[in-house]
Amino acid sequence: MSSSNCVIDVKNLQTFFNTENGVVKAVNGVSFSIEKGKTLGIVGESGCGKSMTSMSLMNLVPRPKGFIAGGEINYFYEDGSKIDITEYDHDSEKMRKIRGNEMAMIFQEPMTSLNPVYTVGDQIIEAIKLHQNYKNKDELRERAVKMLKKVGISAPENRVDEYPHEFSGGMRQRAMIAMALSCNPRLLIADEPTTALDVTVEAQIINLMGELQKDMDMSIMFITHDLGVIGDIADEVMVMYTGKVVEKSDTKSLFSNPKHPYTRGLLNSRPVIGSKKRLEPIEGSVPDLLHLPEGCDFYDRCPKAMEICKNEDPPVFEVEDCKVKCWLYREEEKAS
Amino acid sequence: MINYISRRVAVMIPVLILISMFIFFIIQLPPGNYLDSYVALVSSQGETISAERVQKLEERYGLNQPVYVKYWKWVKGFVFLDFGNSFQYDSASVWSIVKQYLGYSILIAGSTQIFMIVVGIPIGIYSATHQYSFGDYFWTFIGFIGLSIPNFMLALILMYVGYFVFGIPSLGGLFSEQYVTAPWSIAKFIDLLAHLWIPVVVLGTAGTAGVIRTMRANLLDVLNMQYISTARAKGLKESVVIYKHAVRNALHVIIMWAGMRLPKLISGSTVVSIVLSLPTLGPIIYSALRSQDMYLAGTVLLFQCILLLVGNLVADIILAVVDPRIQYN
Repeated sequence: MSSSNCVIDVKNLQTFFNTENGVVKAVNGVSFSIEKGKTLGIVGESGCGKSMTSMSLMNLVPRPKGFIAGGEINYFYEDGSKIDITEYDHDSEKMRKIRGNEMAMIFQEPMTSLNPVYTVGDQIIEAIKLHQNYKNKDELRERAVKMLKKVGISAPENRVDEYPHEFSGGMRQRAMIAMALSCNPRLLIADEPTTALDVTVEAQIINLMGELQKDMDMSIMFITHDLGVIGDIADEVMVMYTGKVVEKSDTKSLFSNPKHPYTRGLLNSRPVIGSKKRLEPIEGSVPDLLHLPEGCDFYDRCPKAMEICKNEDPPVFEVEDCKVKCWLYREEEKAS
Repeated sequence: MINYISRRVAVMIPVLILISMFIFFIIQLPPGNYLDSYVALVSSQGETISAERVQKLEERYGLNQPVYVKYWKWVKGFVFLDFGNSFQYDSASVWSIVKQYLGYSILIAGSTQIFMIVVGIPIGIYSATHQYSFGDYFWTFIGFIGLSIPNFMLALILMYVGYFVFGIPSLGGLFSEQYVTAPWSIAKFIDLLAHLWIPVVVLGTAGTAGVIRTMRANLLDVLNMQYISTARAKGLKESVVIYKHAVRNALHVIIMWAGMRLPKLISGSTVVSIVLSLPTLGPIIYSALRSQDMYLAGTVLLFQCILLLVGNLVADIILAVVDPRIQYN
């Protein structure tokens, strides 16, 4: 898929880690693409490879243990030319020009994602200086102030000279967003950006991201384990389990008609306001990535497990525009 | 910042007063007093000392008076650099003795400090950024050897190798023979530098190894921090990420450690100074303690405490510069 609207196209991405006990396949055969101005949500439990997928996109997999073992990550520039990120060294000039400039990232922990020893302004200016053609000190500062204002920080002229410890958690996340967006990236990767924040602040940040997205016509890859948040912001959702995509569909049908038993489990294990139904948690826990079962990785926890699931890992079936990695849909695909 | 420094200096004054009291208490601890020992010393040499002189000395130090009066008599001379008299050195004033050695002590301690930091930090950074590589293991190995060899042993080995392998007559001292009494000149300074590296290497090896290990551990911690990922995600060069964003956050422990280490370099260098015949305060306090030359010992002790305080102050100032969070805490 290389339509002119595509910003990033990932094919069969494999990101592995060498550990003392063997190779951990943190991301194992993930494929997706994001179109201009759209938001892809990635959901899954801890350790399912969400964050490693985003780190792979930035070519920032923790070295020396982690490495991209296979697949393609094609990034499409504004002019339509493309680059396969997996072919470049993490510290190469081409990669550095993509990072922060074409693709930017915000992280889960706003309390620690800004360097404590530099002012917020300095850290924003650092990014602008790197990628944009502002040379003059005043211009750079003005731009940083403008960005802080854009993300809703009051009195930005003063706050630009403050240190991160003088900011609250929500403010720091706003500052992070300001920094990430300061060079007008075309793709924003948000790795659980609201997990560490209060619910009220969370809503503000999500709204802010939505507004800025419209404003800048930017694509977002939004990683979270919170299905409620995903419903608010994503156009399309990808559910991950043990480093693999188990279901991918547009947001509406994911909520109204979840297909994979794991997705259903996730939806049933979250409270719905007004409902008196008991929560049904998914039994068991995520299997050890070093000792994955022979068949389907979800077999042990799956309420609908069948004989075939035990021995054979299911392929991806396409059902009603959704992609599901589950044997339950073998017949349906044939029928449709 | 000025506020912060003046506050810290203001706090030092009561601390110094308390320390001087404590030191005076220690001076008073041994049975008998300085004058008794002095009289005994003089009469053991077959001379007599006039009762008049004994009385004069008694008055000067207020030896018959209560402790707090004696303390005051010792302390009030400090402003005029009068710390009493030594009796080992023919009643020379303590200050005249201390000042001969203080400069060299600080010179050697300071050079060693700089050596440890200048050598240790870059190696520590290399080790952390090349974790588990051959280079990392190599420096870890060297570091542990450095930590486990006693300083004086290293000094003896260096002197042995210097004499028997390279035929250098003496690696000891800070000057060649012809310059010891000569007035200061450029040639004398160069000669000093040529001698200085030996005590610096000997005294600094263990500390350097410590700096390497500390820097490595701290930097590895910092490199796992989220803001390092942020810096990389901006598109910064890896070298900028490490030197600008990581190293500055990994220096805290080293700075504090360097501040506390300053006085230790003087007291800890005693054996090395004796082996290498260096003109430092180490051997002075050693012999003063042995012969119960209590005013001299007490004063050297006091100077070490001052060095500790100054070292801490300097460390705190550097910390406040490096990390803006410090001033506010």
